[in-house]
Amino acid sequence: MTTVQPMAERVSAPPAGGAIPAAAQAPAANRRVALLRVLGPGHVWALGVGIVLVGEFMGWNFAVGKGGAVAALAACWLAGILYTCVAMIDSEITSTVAAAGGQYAQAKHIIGPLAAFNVGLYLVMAYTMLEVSNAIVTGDLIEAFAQSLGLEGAIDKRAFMVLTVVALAFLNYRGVLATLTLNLVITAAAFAAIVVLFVATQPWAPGAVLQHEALLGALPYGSLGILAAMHFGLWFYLGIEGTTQAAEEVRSPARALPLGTMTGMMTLLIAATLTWYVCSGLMPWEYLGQAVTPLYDAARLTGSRWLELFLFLGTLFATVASANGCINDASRAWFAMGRDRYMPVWFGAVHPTYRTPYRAIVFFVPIAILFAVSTPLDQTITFSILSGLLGYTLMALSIVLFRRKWPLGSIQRGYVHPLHPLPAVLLLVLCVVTYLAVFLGYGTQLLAMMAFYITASAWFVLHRYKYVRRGDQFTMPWPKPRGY
Amino acid sequence: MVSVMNWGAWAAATALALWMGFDLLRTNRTYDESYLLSSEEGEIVDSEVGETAARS
Repeated sequence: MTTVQPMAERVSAPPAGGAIPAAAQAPAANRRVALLRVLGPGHVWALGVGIVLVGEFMGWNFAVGKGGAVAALAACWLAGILYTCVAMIDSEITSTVAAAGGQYAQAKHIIGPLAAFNVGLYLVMAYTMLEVSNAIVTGDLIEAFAQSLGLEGAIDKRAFMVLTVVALAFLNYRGVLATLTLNLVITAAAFAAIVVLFVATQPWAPGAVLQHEALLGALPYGSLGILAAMHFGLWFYLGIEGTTQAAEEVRSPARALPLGTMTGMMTLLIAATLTWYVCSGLMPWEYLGQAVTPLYDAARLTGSRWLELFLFLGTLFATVASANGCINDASRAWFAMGRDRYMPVWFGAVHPTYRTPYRAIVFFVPIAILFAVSTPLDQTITFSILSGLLGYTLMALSIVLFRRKWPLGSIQRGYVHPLHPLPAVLLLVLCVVTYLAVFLGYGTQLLAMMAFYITASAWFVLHRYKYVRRGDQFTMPWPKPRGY
Repeated sequence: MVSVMNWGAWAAATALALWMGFDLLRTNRTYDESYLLSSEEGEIVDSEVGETAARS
């Protein structure tokens, strides 16, 4: 491996208006710079669950509006199967492809450059739009909180949207350990809020608080309602695959990534089911299907001021944790694409002091702010869901090719998912079902996004790919694939 | 009160954004570009804390 020696005179020259950073001395010792390996399985859990848990506090309930409470439960579990397949497949491949960029790096090694470029774009779009959505919701929450306190004057929501984006970008800029440790704390608090609400509703005494017998009816729109509910069923779990973006920053990729991802998925299955159970037992489906903050509303219906405050904080924490994780993941995917020259190589830089992809982090700040102050929430969320769904579809193809090209025993895997190829087939079938559900509700957006990605692919093939150093992009020390 | 909150949010966001912009420029000027871009996919620079299981 070659080592790059930075120019000594540039390193030793003090920057105008500031002292030389301590890390400026490091290059003199022939050192390279890379992302910092400091994370453990808990941080991986916090990254994945932190991005997703906001979906339990808001958004999932639109599935109730599409098909009733029972259809939403069916969608919750079907989407749970879809994401369990995603988590298992992701865990196996990522325990082997220990590289920032997650699914982008996987697709690059297993399928090819064009698929990798598309997956990279899906990731960046999905996480940036989710970050934007969270910033919008944070502004809404702070406005609602100020109104509930009876404060005079109007909250400027744009100020808090911008502050959310900038403050979390600042945190990400300064280091991954503090960023994901914060996520660990606030995600755990948000999950605890769901559990506390569940216990407070006395699930052991049906009829005391929860009124499922009176509120749970048949399917109001028949079985078609289950299909329609699948679109919003994804919100229970959307983003858990983001754990793989930490592959280059965990101390032990082969152990921490599968452990963090699978425990995260278990956490979400529990949280999703508890959320559905509490909300469907407290609110009629006609109201629940339109509520903005269903868990917070459920807490208010219990009549406890403490629970109300706890669930408000849980909602806020979940929203901030999601935005925080999204900044982390979007920047890693963009950084990885820059490093491979799929995007300008300038984005492939690592901060020598903080060991973060600082240019990629800063690059998304104005973009996120622009979308947050100008785009409606439902548009940003739909963009995020569709980008994620496109990525899952390629993931099913990816694992089939992975097992065919590098069968078990040919390379060391940190985790081997069971029952192959059943999870891949299930994932593909459920993706097709969800495409159909999305097409029924957001057909125009689906087609517009397809057109966008096809145009971007044409740009990559006709223009950008000539800048890629083709031999350098395959970095894993694997044997040649079978049949090569 | 609300006015203070609004201005406080704008001020904090501006200060943090300026700090990041300043640090980005300072870092770009202080270090050679080839050093900043020296990271390679999947490599473990901190061998004392890294684990090689996924690379073996």
